Amino acid sequence: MLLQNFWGNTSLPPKLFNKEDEQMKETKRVDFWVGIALIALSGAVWLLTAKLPVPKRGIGPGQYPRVIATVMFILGAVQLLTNLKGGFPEKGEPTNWVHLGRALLLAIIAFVYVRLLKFVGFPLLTPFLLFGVIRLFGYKKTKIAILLSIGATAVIFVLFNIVFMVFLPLGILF
Amino acid sequence: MMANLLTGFSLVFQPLTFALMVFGTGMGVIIGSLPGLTASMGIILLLPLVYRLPAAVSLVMLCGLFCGGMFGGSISAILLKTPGTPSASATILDGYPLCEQGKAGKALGIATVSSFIGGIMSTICLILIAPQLAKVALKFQAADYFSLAIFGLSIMASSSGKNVIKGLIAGCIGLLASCVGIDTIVGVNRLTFNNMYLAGGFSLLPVLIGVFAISEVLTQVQRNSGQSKVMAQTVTNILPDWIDIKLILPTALVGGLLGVFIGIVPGTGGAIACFLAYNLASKFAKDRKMFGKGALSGVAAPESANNATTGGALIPMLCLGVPGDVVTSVMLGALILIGVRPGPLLFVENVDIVYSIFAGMVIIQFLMLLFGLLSSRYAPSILKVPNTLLMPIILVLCVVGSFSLNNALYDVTVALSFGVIGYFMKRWEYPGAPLVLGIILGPLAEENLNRALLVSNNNWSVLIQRPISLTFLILSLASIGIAIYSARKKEA
Repeated sequence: MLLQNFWGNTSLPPKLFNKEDEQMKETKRVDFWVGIALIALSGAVWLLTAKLPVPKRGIGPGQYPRVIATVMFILGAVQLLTNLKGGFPEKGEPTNWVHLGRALLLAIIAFVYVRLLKFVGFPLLTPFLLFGVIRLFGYKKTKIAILLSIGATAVIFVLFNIVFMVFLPLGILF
Repeated sequence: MMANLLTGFSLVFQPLTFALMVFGTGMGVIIGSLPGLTASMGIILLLPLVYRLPAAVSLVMLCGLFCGGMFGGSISAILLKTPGTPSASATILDGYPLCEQGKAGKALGIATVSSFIGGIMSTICLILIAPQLAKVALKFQAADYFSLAIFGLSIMASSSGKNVIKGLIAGCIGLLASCVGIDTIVGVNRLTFNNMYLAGGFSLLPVLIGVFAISEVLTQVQRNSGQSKVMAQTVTNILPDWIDIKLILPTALVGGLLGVFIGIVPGTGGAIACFLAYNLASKFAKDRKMFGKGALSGVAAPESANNATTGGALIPMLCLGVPGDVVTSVMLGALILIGVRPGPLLFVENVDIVYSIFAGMVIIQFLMLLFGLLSSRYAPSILKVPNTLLMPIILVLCVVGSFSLNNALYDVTVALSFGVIGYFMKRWEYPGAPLVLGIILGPLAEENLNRALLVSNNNWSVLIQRPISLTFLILSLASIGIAIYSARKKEA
């Protein structure tokens, strides 16, 4: 009973029902496209492994990925057909671009950081990354953010360079 | 066995091992108590340290983190009404009402003692069951190992998400990713697009960091979660009195037994155990009328059960190389990184490591009890650390951790790429654990399938001719079938 009250809340207000419905529609649409992508991926694996040598006994380098690709093809088809039931999946809940944008922006910042790391170096670049990411997370106190960015970089650099002997990139300036 | 166990204790009490075990358990309690940080993330953050240490030392430290993390989840469940880990979800039901009544100390004390009881029970079972299961597993042949890998993957795929097809897709992508690189049998480039970096395949460490840690940072930044709200009360009277212990003891013992059993079943874990134990306790506990309003047994049952799953989950991981849950799948990856391949041969070739883990698990329970009673006092301060400051530091640690594998920025790029993949998988409800398990078990499956076909002269029926192999294949189909059936039933 208690568990039912905790998890099985079946009397949701209509607004929440609509939201869940919209989310389900969106999930269905994504799953449909994932199905297509899987079928395409399995086809690509078959093509890419077609010319690999086939031994007389045992499993060859191409045969094993092709077995996996076949299973993927079946799973992709299941996803596709299941989500096509009742017609082409409708557009559901609109994408929250602010949320998605924030995550993608962080990913881009991280990729750019890795690209620049070789040239600028860990000790110089990391405080900027940390400060930027702390602000992206919405932390408002600038002084604490600056101090933490510099302090954390120093601690991590010393810990890895001296204790673990992992020589982090110093860049072209040092 | 006793001699081996004594050797294990002597290894565990060496200064470095003991110090790192204390560190691991303490870190586990802190990480587990912070919502958004899980034991698996803690283990991943420690991986750069792990593969620079002797195998036994690092494993004991990781076990400390595992057990500490499992307990730590209860702290925020009781004080914040937010479980630090999914395994502490049921602790909220009675832990938070106790906190509201000003009895947070009592709730934390009961959670600590019950976790200790569950942990000790599971350790005893681990010591008694694991060597026997390993003896049976020594009889396995190539075909059996292939089917075991399939079984491990299917059980993880069918239990780690809402939709079994999505779990299987994630597992297949993991298996496919494990194919990238120079093939180990013939030695040709496979799915590398003539890229020299891809020729080495995907290293496990960056994949683990990406799927479990970076994806979490990306998820948290989109939520922009901010600071937690701690109940404004001083946590006092942590040590439970004898009357309370007498009240919760039967519940904790039953919860512990249930937890051990659930832990042994691959693909389950603390989250399931805690609710089953809570449900059971609500029917037989002396204070059952108080359930939902602040019953001590309502805290004891789930806490004992979730900590009991730790030793249980280690049994299939150590004996068969099949993880019991997400955390043990990360631990399996850590073991491979150290150069230790879990499975029955571990009990023959690395007896010292196995018995160090056994001895370590015993000591860890006592450390957890100590840390639990101490940290409960400092918990409100720990919980005030905002995620907005922790997550950026975790991101940098992820970058440094993946770089440390080969001192190569390529590994960092791999980690970030898998982080983005993991983020979208999470967003679209595709579980990450089967993907990682696919990468871990992929080479094992391929190697043993090849060996089985070589021995049988390309006779595929060898997979169903051997009883052990056939049993694993039937179990794999059954686990997928049951998952599909229960999903359909739920929909109906």
